[in-house]
Order: sequence, then structure tokens, then C-alpha cells
Amino acid sequence: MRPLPENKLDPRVKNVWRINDGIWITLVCGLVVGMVQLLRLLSAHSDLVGALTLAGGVAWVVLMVLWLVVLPPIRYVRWRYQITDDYLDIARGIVWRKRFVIPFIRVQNTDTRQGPILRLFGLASVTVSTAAGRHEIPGLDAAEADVLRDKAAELARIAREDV
Amino acid sequence: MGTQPHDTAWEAAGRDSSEAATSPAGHNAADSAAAPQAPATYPVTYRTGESHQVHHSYIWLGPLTATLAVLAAAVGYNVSTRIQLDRFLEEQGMAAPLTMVLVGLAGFVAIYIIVTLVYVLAWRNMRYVFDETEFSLYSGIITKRRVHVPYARVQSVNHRAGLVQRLFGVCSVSIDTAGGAANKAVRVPFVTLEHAERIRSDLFVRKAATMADCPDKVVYVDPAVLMQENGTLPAGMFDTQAHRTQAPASPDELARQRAAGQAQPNVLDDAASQVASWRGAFGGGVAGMEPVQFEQGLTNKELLLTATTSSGIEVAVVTLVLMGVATGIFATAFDPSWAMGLGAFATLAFTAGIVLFGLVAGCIAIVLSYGNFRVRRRGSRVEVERGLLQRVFTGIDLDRIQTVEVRQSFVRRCLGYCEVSLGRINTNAENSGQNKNQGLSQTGLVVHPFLRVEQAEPFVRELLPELAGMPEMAQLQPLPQVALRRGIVRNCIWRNAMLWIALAYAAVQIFLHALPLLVGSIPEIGSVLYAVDSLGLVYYIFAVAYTVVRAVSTVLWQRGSGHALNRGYVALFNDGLRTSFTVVPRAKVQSGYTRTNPFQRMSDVTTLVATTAAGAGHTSYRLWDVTESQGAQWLAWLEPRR
Repeated sequence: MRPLPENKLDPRVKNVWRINDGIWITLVCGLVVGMVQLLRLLSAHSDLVGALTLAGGVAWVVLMVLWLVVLPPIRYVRWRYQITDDYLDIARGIVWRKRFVIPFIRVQNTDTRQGPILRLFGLASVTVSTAAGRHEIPGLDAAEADVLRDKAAELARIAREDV
Repeated sequence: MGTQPHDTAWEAAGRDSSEAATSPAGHNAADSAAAPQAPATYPVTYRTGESHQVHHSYIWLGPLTATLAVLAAAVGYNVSTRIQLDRFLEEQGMAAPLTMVLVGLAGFVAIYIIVTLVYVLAWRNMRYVFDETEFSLYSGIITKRRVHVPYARVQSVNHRAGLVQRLFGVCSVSIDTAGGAANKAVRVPFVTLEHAERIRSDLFVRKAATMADCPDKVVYVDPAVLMQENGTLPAGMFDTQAHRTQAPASPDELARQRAAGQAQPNVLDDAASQVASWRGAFGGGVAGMEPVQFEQGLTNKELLLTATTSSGIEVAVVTLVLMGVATGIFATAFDPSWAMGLGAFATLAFTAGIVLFGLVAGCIAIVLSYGNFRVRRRGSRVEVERGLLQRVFTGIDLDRIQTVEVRQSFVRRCLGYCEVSLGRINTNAENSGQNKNQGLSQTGLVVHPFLRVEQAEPFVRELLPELAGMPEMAQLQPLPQVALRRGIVRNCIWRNAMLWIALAYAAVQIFLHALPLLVGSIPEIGSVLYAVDSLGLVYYIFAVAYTVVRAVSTVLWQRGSGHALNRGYVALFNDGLRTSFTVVPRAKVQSGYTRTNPFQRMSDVTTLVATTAAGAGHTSYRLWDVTESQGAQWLAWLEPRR
């Protein structure tokens, strides 16, 4: 059995996930409840509308607990990566566990990205692209991400551009 | 090519053997990139920096299709409003048919003139130039566009000619380029065959010069002179037969070729040679190209069976059978009276007629599209030409082959035949103009549509000698025994959509039957229930049959499937009622991964996935349920070697 990669993400990434997922869940639930409220204006089924609103609220609480309390630590534990001299090794996934090996000689470009939430925590994500898709390492310390990107870019320079 | 690091045995071997194979090519510069010593000069037939216009048939032929499309729409509209029109004409007291013809003709001419004017402007603004370092296509009436193709980026130069285009000896040239994952095709519409061949030849010659780092050695040669020198060599599009008719080979030579299996003929080849030998009104001469190292066509039998065993036919037959059974059951279930039965069977006969007609038409279409099929190896490229009426010429550079795939549909598996194709990266047409999807190549270049399974390996070896180390079927590591149980559960339960629909239907059925018990008796429910039950019975029979078929396929899958890893390649074989054997050169595996779900972890198995850049975006090839240690081996294989 192949040993798991050594490095973990920055622990602060859990909070980034929480904020990010919290915003999404609230938005979707808010939208659904808003639509239901709109229905109230149009029709007289107020008891149905009330029930739907309640269901939306319960769904919101359940989803929030799941994505804000339960999942982030598990996801964090399961997300590992390692950069060796010539390949990138990623292990992730809770139920469907995936283990990637991305040779640097196939990497065509690497970049770092920093959205507003990541910036708030001083984090950045590194994206590694091959001719057949991208692989993202979310949530590294910004300085560390720059080092990683430069290292990956350095190694990727030997990649053949032609596919 | 030469300066970039190679990390696989395949590429190294590729260079070695293509050197060996192409060294007698003389001054054919296109493969001299791979030849031991660079040639003195690189002959090209377009002067550097000179701009050329596309053929004038662009103006008068191009609008034809557009106009016809408009006209077809107009006719459709007319038919729908015909009644009003007739009434109107009656009121006006005109001779209706004559007027309509006149109106139609006038409309056609008017549209044609307008479209032609636009095309004149487009034509005046469209020109292509061979510069020192790149090929450029200028286009656009108001918004000017310039598409550059650096010679080093040229990957393949393909031709396509529709029926009308063929009559006039013109075709469209699309230049596939490669730069990382962004692949673009530049389409030069309406050039004569002679120019198409010269464009192709020049692009490859200039690419070779650029690669050899001596673009100063490119010299202009009058095309007429070059043609005289190389006149005996067959060249690109429509070439084989055209060449034969121009400089007829002796009957002995042809007989020898046939005996050697090189020129296997079929009935359509003769017809095709007639069509091809006529290079149209503007076809012109044949420019020289490198010699052919390997060539194969299709025999009568192969051509016919290609058409009759294609997967569309399979679907049609299954549909027909299902419809027949369903109609028969309905006819007897709903109303056993003769009138209804007859009606149902008349409907059945009618639909069967339509499906049969579609089948035959489909077969003919496939026969025509594979008519005069030729696959050949020329220098470092594999070239495929096909189509009796619409002619398609596609090439792929050895370095650009992402995968080699041997596939069998159900019928072909029963007959012991397969289809061989080469995976490649899809390209999108870059420049403006109609028919954008013509530049969009289908995934995989079919290099042989119908081949005996035993012959697939020798065929690939002969076509691509560079791929010598490809794993063979016998070297596959089989799946573990647990894969059978897991496969049955996966294919017959989890992923069996028919089963889930059947369960949903059963729930509805039970609900309907329970309804009278819940709300008291409902009038007329008996006949509804009868209909629901009989429909359900038919569906359940189909669902069970489908599940059995899936189970059989799964047993075959577990017995036959496997994977093989060696120094240069990974091979994945998924057996079953349909099979696919995929070989990916190590250099073309962009990344790979293993994936497990909780059940797989309980059984210590894993799914292997290899991702390549083939197709649009990317294509993943997977094999379920290999053992965990094989998964670990796969990941270790993916790590670059030093």
C-alpha cells in the first residue's frame, strides 16, 4: 500500500470552507424560501407556505451543521498532498477517495489564486494544469503557495509543450 | 521535435525507426527533420511573403449552399402557407403554378446575388501568406482578422471536399495546430486541389526547416518543376487512383500489389478511381510528396460489413424488435377485436418500413463515406482518405497520437471483427466562415473500420512500427475474482436504470391497486388497471432481459478484462458484449489516479483511471476493480523515471 502524502493543507482552510459553504447554503435556502414567500402573495394556501418555509429553515440548519461542523475536519484530514522532485501526489475524498499522481513534465502551467475569503485568512490556492485538465490545491499559506507555484513552474519548464 | 527532451522509449524508438524508414526518401524535405543529415535545401512552391487569394469558386460556389438553405426554408414556408397563396392567386386570376415557379426563381436569384456580393467582399479580403516563420490567413470585411500559424505548431493539414466542390476540383484545407491544450484549426476555404497539396507540402517543408533551425535554406521552386521531378510519386488527396491514371502502373505491378495485400480493391474503388481521376474543372496537377511506406484499403466484404455492423444499425434493429413486440402485445391486450389488431399491425408495418428504409439509407451512407477508404503511412504521418462523394483527407503526426484503440461493437464481436482508431485531440475551427464544425474532428481517427481481431495487432505494427513495445492481449493482468460479484451488483443493480424505473413503476402500480381500498370504489378503474398491468408486464419482461444481458456482459468483462503496464505503455482492456482495448503511450498519459468507494475498500480493490488529452478537453480511460497492489503499481508507474 502506498503511504499517504506528507503535507496537509493550512488548518485555516477549514474556516475558508465554512464561510464559503455557509454563504452558498444560505443563498440557496434563502432563494427557495423567498420563492415560497412570493407564492404567498399570489395564492391563499398560507398553511402550505408556512410548512414549506419551515422545511426550508430545517434544511438550512441541517445543511449548515453538516457542512460547517461535521465535514470540514474530515475533509481537512483526508486532504493531503506532496511535492517530490518530479511529481505531485494528491490524496483526497471522504467517500470516494482519489489518489492522483501528476508528473511535472506534463504540467503546462501553474498559478496561484486568492479570492476575497482566502485573502482574509492570508491563504492562496495553487492550480496545476496539464493538457488534460486542472488540479487545485486549495488553501495554502500565501507565501508557501508562492514557493510551491515557483517550484512547480520550475519543474514544469521541462514539460513538452506539444501533446 | 529534436530539441525537446524525450522521456519515453516510444519516442526514442519512433525517431530511430522513422530515420531508418524514411532515409531513402531523397530530397523530400518534410521528413528530413528526422533524417540523419539535413538536406541542402528545402524546396517550397510559394514565395515567402507573397500573398495569395483563395480560388474564385469561393464567390460563386460558396453562396450556393447558403442560398439553397434559404430556399429550402422558403419552400417549407410556402408549403405551409400554400392554401392562402392559392386563394390569393385565384383571386388575382393568375396561373398559379407558373407564377409560383417564377416567384421562386426570382427569389432564388435575388438571394443568390445578395449573398454573392457579400462573398465577393469576403473573397477580396481573404488571403493567405507564407512568411518566414509563420503561415497567416487574413480575412474579414469589416472586422479584420489575421490568424497566425507558426510553422513549428503545424500538426496536420487536412482536406475536405463536398460533392459540388469535387466536381470543380476545389476543397477546403484545415490546418490543425497544437499548443498545449489549446488546439486550433485554421480553415482555408476553396482552394484548388493543386494548391491544397502545395499548401500541405509547403507547410511541412517549412516546418522541417524551422525544426532543423535553418529557415534560410528554404528556396522557392517553380511548382511545375517540382512536379516534373516528383511526378512519379503519388501525392496527397485523391492521389492513388489519380496517379495511376496519370502514369498507369503495369498490370503486373497492380497484381503484385494486390497479392501483397497492399491494394485490396473493392467494387467502389473502380467507381472512385473514375471520380478521382477527374480532378474537376480546376484540379490541376499533382505536387510531389514523400513516398508511401504502407497502404491498405477495404475489400468488398469489409466495406459491406462495415456498413451493416455499425452501431447505428444495431440500435435500429433493437428498436425494430422492441416496437414489434410492443405493438403485438398492445394489439392483443387493449382490444382483441380484429379491426384494432389490423390497425396496430398496419402501424407496425409502416414504422417497420420507415426503420428499414432508414437502415438501408444508413448503410448506403456508411458505404459512401467509407468508399475508397485508404489508410497509409507517409513519413512520420498516418493519413486516412475516405468518401466516395464527399472526400475527407485527414492526417495525424506520429507524435500526436494519444491512444491506439481497438473496439468491437456487439455484432462485430460476434463476427470476430474490430475497429482500429487513433485517439487525437479535437481541434476547433478558428477563422470565420460557415460550416464551423467541419474543422471539429470527431474523436479518434478510424484507421481501419473493419478488421479481423487477430489482424489488429499485425496491422498496427505495420502501420506504426514505432509502437513496437505495445502490450499484447496475452500480457494483461486479469481482474481478481471479487470483481465478478462487484461487477454484477454494479451493472445489474446500481447502474441499471431499467431496474430503477421498474421499481418506480411497481410502486405506482401498487398505489393504483390500493387506491380503491383507501378511497372506496372508483368507477372504470378496472380497465385502467388492466392497461397499467399489461404495460407493466411488457416493461418488466424487457427489464429482466436487459438485466440478463448486462449480467452476461459483466461475466465476460470479469473474465477478459485487465490491464498491462510496461516501460512505454499502459493498456486497458474492458471486455464484455462490447469491448474496447486502449493503449496509451506513457508520454501521453497526462495524469492518472486511483479511486475507491467504501465497498471497494472493503474488498481491497480500486479503480484505475488514466487521463489523456484526447478528444475535446480530455478523455479518461478506466478499469474498475483491480487489486489494491495493482493500483499502487499504477501510481508508481506514473512517477517519472530518472
